[in-house]
Amino acid sequence: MNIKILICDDEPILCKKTQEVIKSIDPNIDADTCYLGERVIDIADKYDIIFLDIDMPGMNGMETASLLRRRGVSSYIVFLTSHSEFMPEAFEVRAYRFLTKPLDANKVSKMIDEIKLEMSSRHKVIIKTGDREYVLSSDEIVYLAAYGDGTYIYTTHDVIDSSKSLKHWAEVLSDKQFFYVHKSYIVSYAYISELGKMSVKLRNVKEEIPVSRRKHKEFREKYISYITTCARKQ
Amino acid sequence: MTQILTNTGLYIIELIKLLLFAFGISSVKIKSPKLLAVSAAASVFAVMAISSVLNIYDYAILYGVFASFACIFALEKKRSVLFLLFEYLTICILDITNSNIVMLVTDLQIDRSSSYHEVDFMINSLTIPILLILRLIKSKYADKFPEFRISARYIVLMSIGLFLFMVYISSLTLFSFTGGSTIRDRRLTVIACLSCVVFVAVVFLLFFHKSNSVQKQKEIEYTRDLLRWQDKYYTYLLQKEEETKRFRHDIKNHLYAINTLLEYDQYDELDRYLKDLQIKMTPLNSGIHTGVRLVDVILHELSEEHSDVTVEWEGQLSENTNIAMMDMCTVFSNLLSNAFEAAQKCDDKWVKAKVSSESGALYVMISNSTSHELKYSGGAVATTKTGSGHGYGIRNVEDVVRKYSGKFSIKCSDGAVSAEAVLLN
Repeated sequence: MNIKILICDDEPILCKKTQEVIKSIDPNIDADTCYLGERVIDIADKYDIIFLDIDMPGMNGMETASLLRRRGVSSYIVFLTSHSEFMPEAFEVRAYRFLTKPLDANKVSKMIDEIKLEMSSRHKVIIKTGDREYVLSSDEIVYLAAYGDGTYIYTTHDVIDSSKSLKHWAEVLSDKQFFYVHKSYIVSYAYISELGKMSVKLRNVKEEIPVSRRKHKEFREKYISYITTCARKQ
Repeated sequence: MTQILTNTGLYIIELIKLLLFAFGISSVKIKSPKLLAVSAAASVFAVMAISSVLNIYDYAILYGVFASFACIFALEKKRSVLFLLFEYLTICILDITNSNIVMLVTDLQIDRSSSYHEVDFMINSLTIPILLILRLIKSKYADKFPEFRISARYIVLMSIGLFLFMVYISSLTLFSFTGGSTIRDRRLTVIACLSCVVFVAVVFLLFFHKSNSVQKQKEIEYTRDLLRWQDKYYTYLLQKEEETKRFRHDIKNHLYAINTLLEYDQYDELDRYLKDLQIKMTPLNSGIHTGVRLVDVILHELSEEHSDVTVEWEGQLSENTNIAMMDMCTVFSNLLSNAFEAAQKCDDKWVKAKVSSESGALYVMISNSTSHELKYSGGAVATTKTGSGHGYGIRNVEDVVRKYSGKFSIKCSDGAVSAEAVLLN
């Protein structure tokens, strides 16, 4: 698999340096550069990984990332910083990692391998609606809600109206990633922000999703094992 | 046949009362509700079988012993059976009081005829609604109740006391509710029973108070820990500030030197100078940034104290969670100090940490090299440290994990120990 990387840093010389580091790991990797956050927005969806400098004039790295996510770009975002302080906003934009400058080739290489592995295990989901067909990666799905015979599929940036029942989706989606919390809701573990007694809060979702009393214990246990497996893999 | 029926019927009533009290009100921990149901059902059949040869009705107290031991397989800690017996004695006192009040009001008398059994049935089940009301009160104020933690010694003492009380009031009852006693005797007996009930209630309140104060004590201890770390954090911050100030002052000189070297085209010299400068700057950025400043300090302190232990830290924490700083502090200070202390004693000294605070939960794994295997005592890890005051660390971590309905485990393999904790937001 040939992966494409976009490097964005307002300092052309540092951009070139990063590009060299990546090329030294694997010359087959496509690594393009650009010097402005605004430019990234236009071309980002062509790339698998986006290296973003945080301190940039105009739109800074965090703002760029946030806008990318709002536009539904699901590429891996890696932040480049010169200081190792961590920013809590990074969770919101689902940043994959922070790398400190100067880049350590070993770390970058290890990270690219991990991303490759993750990309190959990404589960594709095809959703057909009346007029079009959506192809999504399963980690873009936040939650699903039943209405009548159909299902609303809430993705990170869109709501898709599927005519298939929630039960159908429960069978299609992997139980490693999703849980059928309530007779009319399925949630993705990846977006849980708070697990309450009777409900669950999801990141960037205003309404709380109810959890049926019967399933609460199983849900908690499965969620803990999801966290454990994810963390161990990293 | 009637003997079997009445015996079993009464046993079921007693069993219901005990289960309600023990698991509904005082929430004794059980392994699984299924196991409890099976053992309770099995005990009912056992009573049925026994009563075909022996009239247990004459030894009613045996019901409680039987019922308590029926639950033993389902209990998480076998020791809780003591508590169950204690609760059964409480139920007995409630029963006697109830029946005495009923007999006083209805002018009934104790007799040994079989028609009395039906009355006994009714009177005995009167305690169930009382327990149900207590259960309702508990569920309404559930979050205000601390976890019930009383040492076995207290329970044994109280059980003896309650048993004596029971012997006292039951003989009083027998004396005053059989023929030839005056209404005054009966009233006095009821009053004696009621005072017993009040006494028991006071004892329970005291128990609650005690558990509460233990809890508070613990909180104070945690807060003190947090303050200690915060204090260290500020000292550390001041020290850093001092270093930065010095560096800021120096940078002018450095820039001047660089400029001069550039002016004279001494590139080799410039290269060397810049490399030197980079080395000088590293101590300023040194230390691991975990994402939570207090954890940084804990790590910094411990790695300074155990300077020959190598530390590896993976992942980022976030200060932006629902997990209280105090609890975060408890988890990291205990797990890390245990890890450093154990690693210090080995030839190959290392501590590794892996954390993640993504997706609404905190994941922590801390592993270290060790020279000896872990010891287990009763399912929990035993301390290898000598002297009193040790071995509470892990228990405190477990408390915090329980508070966030998470999971905690310790594993030991090939000369390494790893503790893994998950806390939910």
